[in-house]
Amino acid sequence: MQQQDAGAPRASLRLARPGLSASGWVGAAIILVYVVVALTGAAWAPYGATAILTGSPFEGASLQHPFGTDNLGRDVFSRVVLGTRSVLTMTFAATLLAVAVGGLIGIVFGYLRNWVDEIGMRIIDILISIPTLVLALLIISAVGNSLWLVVLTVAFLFAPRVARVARAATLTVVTNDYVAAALARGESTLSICLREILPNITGVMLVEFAIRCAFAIIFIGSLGFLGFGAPPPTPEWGLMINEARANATNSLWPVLAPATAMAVLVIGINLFADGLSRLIDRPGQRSAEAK
Amino acid sequence: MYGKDILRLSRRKVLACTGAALAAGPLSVALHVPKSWAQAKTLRIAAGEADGATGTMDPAQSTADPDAARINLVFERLTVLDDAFAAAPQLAKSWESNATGDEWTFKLQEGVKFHDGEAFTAKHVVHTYKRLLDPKTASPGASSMAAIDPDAIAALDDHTVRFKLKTATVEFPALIANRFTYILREGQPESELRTAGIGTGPFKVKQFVPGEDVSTFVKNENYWRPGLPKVDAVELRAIPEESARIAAIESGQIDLVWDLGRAGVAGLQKNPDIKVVTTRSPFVLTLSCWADTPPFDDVRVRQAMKYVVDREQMLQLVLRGYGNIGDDNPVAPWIEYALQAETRARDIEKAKALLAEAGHPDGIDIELFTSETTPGFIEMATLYQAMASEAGIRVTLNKAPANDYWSAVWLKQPFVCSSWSGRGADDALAAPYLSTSDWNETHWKRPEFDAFINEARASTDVAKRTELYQNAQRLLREDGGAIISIFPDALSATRANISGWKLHPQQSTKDFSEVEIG
Amino acid sequence: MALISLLAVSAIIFWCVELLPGDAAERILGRNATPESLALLRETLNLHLSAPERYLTWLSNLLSGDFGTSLVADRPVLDYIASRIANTALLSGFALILYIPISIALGVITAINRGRMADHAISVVVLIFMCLPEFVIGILLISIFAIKLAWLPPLALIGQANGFGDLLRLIALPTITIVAAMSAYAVRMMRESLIEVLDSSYVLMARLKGLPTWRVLLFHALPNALGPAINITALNVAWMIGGVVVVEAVFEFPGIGRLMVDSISHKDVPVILAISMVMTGAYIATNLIADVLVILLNPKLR
Repeated sequence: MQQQDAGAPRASLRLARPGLSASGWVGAAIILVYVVVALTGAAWAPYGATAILTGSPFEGASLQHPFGTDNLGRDVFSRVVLGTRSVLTMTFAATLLAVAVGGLIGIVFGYLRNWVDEIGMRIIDILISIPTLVLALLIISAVGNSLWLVVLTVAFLFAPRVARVARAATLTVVTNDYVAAALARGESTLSICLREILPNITGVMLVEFAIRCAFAIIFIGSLGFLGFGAPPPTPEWGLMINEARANATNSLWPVLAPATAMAVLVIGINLFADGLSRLIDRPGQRSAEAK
Repeated sequence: MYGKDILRLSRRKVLACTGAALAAGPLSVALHVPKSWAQAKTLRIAAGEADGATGTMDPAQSTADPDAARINLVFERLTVLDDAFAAAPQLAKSWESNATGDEWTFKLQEGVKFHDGEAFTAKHVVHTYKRLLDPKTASPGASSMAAIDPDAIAALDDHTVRFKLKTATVEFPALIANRFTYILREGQPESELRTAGIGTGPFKVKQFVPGEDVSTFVKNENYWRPGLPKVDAVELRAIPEESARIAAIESGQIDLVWDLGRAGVAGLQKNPDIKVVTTRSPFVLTLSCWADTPPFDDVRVRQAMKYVVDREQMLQLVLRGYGNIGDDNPVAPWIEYALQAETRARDIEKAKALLAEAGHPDGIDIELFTSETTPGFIEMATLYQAMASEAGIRVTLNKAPANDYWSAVWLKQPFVCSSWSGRGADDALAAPYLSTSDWNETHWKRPEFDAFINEARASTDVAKRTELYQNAQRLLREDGGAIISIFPDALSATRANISGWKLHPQQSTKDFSEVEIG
Repeated sequence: MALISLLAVSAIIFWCVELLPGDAAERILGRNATPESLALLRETLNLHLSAPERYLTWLSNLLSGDFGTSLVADRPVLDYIASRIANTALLSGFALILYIPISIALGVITAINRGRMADHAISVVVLIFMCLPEFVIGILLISIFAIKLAWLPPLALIGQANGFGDLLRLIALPTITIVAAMSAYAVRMMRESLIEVLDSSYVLMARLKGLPTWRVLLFHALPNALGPAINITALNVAWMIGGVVVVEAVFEFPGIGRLMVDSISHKDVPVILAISMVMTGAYIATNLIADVLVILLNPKLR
């Protein structure tokens, strides 16, 4: 049961190719474009994210409004562009937090392999067995839906899953001589975990980070779609899709534009993660359940 | 008092039931032929407000819209409201009061039977009202009818009921045309009321289980209004997601929907298979602030907040033109006793000046709570934010979860989006703004205002009463804490083969008896 | 172990629900609540008891096989959730029936055509489906197949179904949505593990022996590549148990996910607990079954 979440690591018969694959580079390029848009979008987006009546409501695509306008006449293109920043920030913050906390817990448990590990992993198993979305809805209903609470919730839900992967990876390196040597030098547990083990599983953790990012984008989007994400008028893509849905039969642009933006970013991250995992000889490391 | 009644009669149009009875006379014979279920005409209707486990058909406990629709299928009241919110007869044929307006006598329809065959008589009316007012019932409607003395409701004979009131209420017949006063059958066990009530209405309950997605109703073959109802069965469900509701009617999965949002209607109007049915309604959307809490405790701030609103733009953008402009007065201009005033025009300079006078030359920062709970809230709040920013009123939006907005945010936060279902002038003014009201959402308490309302209620002279109600509206408009810019129309749609559907401006009232398929 | 997990989950969920603001009485009465009616209703619903007391009462009732009564719907929880579970099981069942052959077939096609057009084309489509959130897939399917083409009904109002064929039409779109979301992962997984097996020495041996390709595939490669696919299926089913919430919301499907969302909004504790138990139980059972299957299929572990 434990192994599945790590995607059943197997020894590959193929040799790891040197350098990132072509599709990996495509993924990296896509991510780069999004990061640039997020950083510079505010400077060149034609309208503000909350500027109403930039045209009449529900206009189709035109030169003025490349993706049309929404129910309040806001420019969909500008909102998608400006939404990039909040989406990327939320995603990276949530994932970084999850990988940092989950990763540390996983490494420590994997290194200790004593009763702490035993009990800790049981708790993690239990947390994982509760469906993510259900737990997220419960937590967000309880504590409210500000931007940062959504980030914390997503981090909390992802951390146990990351911990499992980190622990599994730690188990493969913990028996190495350099760990024993460090122990002999009298280094503390934390220092061994951070200085000896972490550098040797960096690749796995990077791939994990990339995959979790992709999940986080879809997950945050789903929360926004169910009305549990960031509050309006935040130009969050899931929320935009939800708001535009009632009129989808009449004008599909306000749905399609944020959906495409989301999908392309997720594709980019997936391609990059794939390339990365091939690079470090861990093909096909995947877990579907966080989706 | 009699003069008042004559006034009502002269203004009332030909009663819907008589008209319908004439038109449907020959048809009714055909409908009595037994049919197999496959041939039966089933009307499939969909409410927009979420239904679910809270559902109940006990009129005394009903608060949700799907509940109201179910209750309308099965039960009837003494009086109903007409389009201008004046009382019209249903199970009561006529009524009169004494000279002081604190004793009312109702003559009941004869020959009406409950679904189980029991004749409808005065004792059922007495039972219904006594139960409704009993503290053990804990009906949310009891407080609005506190004027009725429960021990003095009397059946004078089988078809005459007399109410004695603790305080004179000239509008009593309109006051009891609310969602709680549907007549129950005396003797039916309390435990059956939630799911299997027996009424006098056009349909009987076939199946209603709270939490299941469909409730079904069958035709009452012995309905007292001849020729009605015109369909054999009704299937009711709630489809809260608007896009889903629209998809369902466009594809013909549903015959009739209401509670449509503005965005969707535009698409539906282009569809030849769909008829869009709208009605002007005094249903009102408000932005309500606490008049006793800074910065709203200064009347100049409240006025500045009213001056920033471009009401025409609100109407066009929030409602896409389906509605009427409001003027910070909860009584819509076409309602009896409404104050007719010139609409407050947008005036940013004036708003800035008022703010500066009130000691806020740099503007104010306020937080506005909104939610998806009522269609239009999000758009209204988003637009208000944009409009107000030009005058230095910086609004932060806080979108609260829809499911507990009314219990956790409304009445608990100082600046919120709120809505009130369409009401007559008295109820529209008294329920939210009387200083003694449980639902005083603006914390605005003015003894003068209370005095106007109370005097108007006891005043039997129409001109005097009108003046008092209008004074109250004038005061509220200038000084009150509610920014009222739009009255949304009620919007519904049917498939093109459905006829006879009229949308009532009182949201809890829905009459399906005349709806016909094909 | 499974029982301890369930117990712990029930405690966690109960605690989460306790954190929710307000209580069922407020949710039921909503806008029209008065202090008197609230107090009366709390008394009837036993909400005046302390949280630990209510949890222990619930637990002891559960041990005697009683899931309690819904606070809001006023009917036994078991009776209430049974029909919803059946609906969701029906939807998931259809999805699984379609999902397994589709992902195996596509996985095989991409693996044996590795690097050719067919592989690239399918891989791209699969990648796109994997990266589109299921609510977007759902909305697009409704726009295209229900509104534009009018081939299928947009909503899965299965109460309207008139016979089996009708039922199939009603649940077609949500089923396709789930299958699309789930297959994407499985196809990729299947492809990768098949490629690996096809490259292995014993498949080479079989080929050298002159066995036809389809025999090599069917009897040598496929069984060995199924293990990882089964694991992915287990994960997919686990995802489906929770993720079906979104699909049910898009299609108005009267299943367990929507009931869960409704119950959270009504703070209907017994129903929330019961559904969590069912979902968690299903998750644990799925994993057990997958573990057993993997062991049965793998000659080395058998």
